[in-house]
Amino acid sequence: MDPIPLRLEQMVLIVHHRNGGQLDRLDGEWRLLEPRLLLDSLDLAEIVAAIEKQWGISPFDAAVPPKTWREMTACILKGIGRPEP
Amino acid sequence: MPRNVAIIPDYAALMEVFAQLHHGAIIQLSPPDQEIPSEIMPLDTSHSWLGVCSSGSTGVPKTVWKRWDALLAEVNSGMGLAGWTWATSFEPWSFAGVQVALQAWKTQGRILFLDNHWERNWSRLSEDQARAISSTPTFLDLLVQHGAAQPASDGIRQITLGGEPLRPAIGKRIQHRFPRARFTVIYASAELGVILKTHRTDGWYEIDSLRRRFQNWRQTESGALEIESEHGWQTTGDLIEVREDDVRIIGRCDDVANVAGVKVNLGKVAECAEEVPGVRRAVATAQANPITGQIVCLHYELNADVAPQAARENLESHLRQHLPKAAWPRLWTEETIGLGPNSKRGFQKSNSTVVYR
Repeated sequence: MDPIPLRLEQMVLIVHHRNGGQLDRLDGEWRLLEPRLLLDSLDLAEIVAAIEKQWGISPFDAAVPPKTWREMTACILKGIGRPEP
Repeated sequence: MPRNVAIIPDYAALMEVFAQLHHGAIIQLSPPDQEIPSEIMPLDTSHSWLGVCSSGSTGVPKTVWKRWDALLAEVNSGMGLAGWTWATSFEPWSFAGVQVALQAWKTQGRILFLDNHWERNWSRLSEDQARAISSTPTFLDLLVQHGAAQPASDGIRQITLGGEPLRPAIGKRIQHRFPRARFTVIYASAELGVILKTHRTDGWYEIDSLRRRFQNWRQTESGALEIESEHGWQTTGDLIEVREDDVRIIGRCDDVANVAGVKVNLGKVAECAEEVPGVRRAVATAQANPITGQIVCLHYELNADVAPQAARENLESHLRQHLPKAAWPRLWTEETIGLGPNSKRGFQKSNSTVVYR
């Protein structure tokens, strides 16, 4: 698996597990605040801050901000100049 | 009497100013590298006045005029203090620097200025037989950190702390390091003078200490301390917490993050972090975030003998247990927490110093 989606999945699941969740994978079609992820906006803010720190890009500065985790991955890949999968 | 501006590169220059004031003068102190504006001049020119530099409640430096006789009246001139060497980290043109210099001047003592060369500071404290240290808690903690681990049989008899809130963890460490010293913790501002004074080292002051100096004071809805002086109600710009007969300073009113509409006091976050064993010092800051407006970032320094990963896990767990979710740090940086202006706590970030007061 491409290391960038894998790292993003890890970031999301770390917060999910901290909130008591037991998922072992992230479905790219899920919306950012999909209830099964047990994330609130504060947790999402933490993940976005981690993305900004790791890859130096701000997904919500894009013309069309991401709504799903697949779109988030695409934003990161585009931001660092990599072709989308 | 004409007003003179005195450039003050060191304490020797300040002592010369004191001698002039004693014979009648109006003198405004100025750092060597910065001109501090003085908007209001003293009207009563039949007395000596000293203009001291204040960082200002809005962060813009300004000159605050103090009557010379009132400044002298605050000095403890007990015979037991005669001829002491007073070590200090405060700049000579600041209100805190003037206070310690006055103490030395009035008791025929001398000033030893301490900088951030820690080994040299320890040598000079010993060589000059310093009897007192006056500094911020952060400065003294750094001095202790870079000195011998065991309590020394040194000659320090008096330690005066001010300039920023004293956190309990630091209070314990420095009391352990200077077991024979008497501690005085002062909360003061250039505008209002000494507001609170105590000999405790847990960060709290007795409310009586406030009442003795100011008959009327109040805590605003947002938690700020306001004091009634001859000029009416004045804000200190600091947040307080009141507990029965005690009061403590939490931090500056503007040292707040707005996380998804929730106001988070950054001083409280850092203080909570310093409760964790192995965390030497911490500073919390606000960072912009597209989801919540701002998030809290924690910058922390660990003791040298601590395993970083385990300490970080303890730190995260402790803060999540003790703080509301909006106040949880979302970014973590382990780095050196040193000194900002006038030896207050700070750290270097992208060529600019971010200072926690």
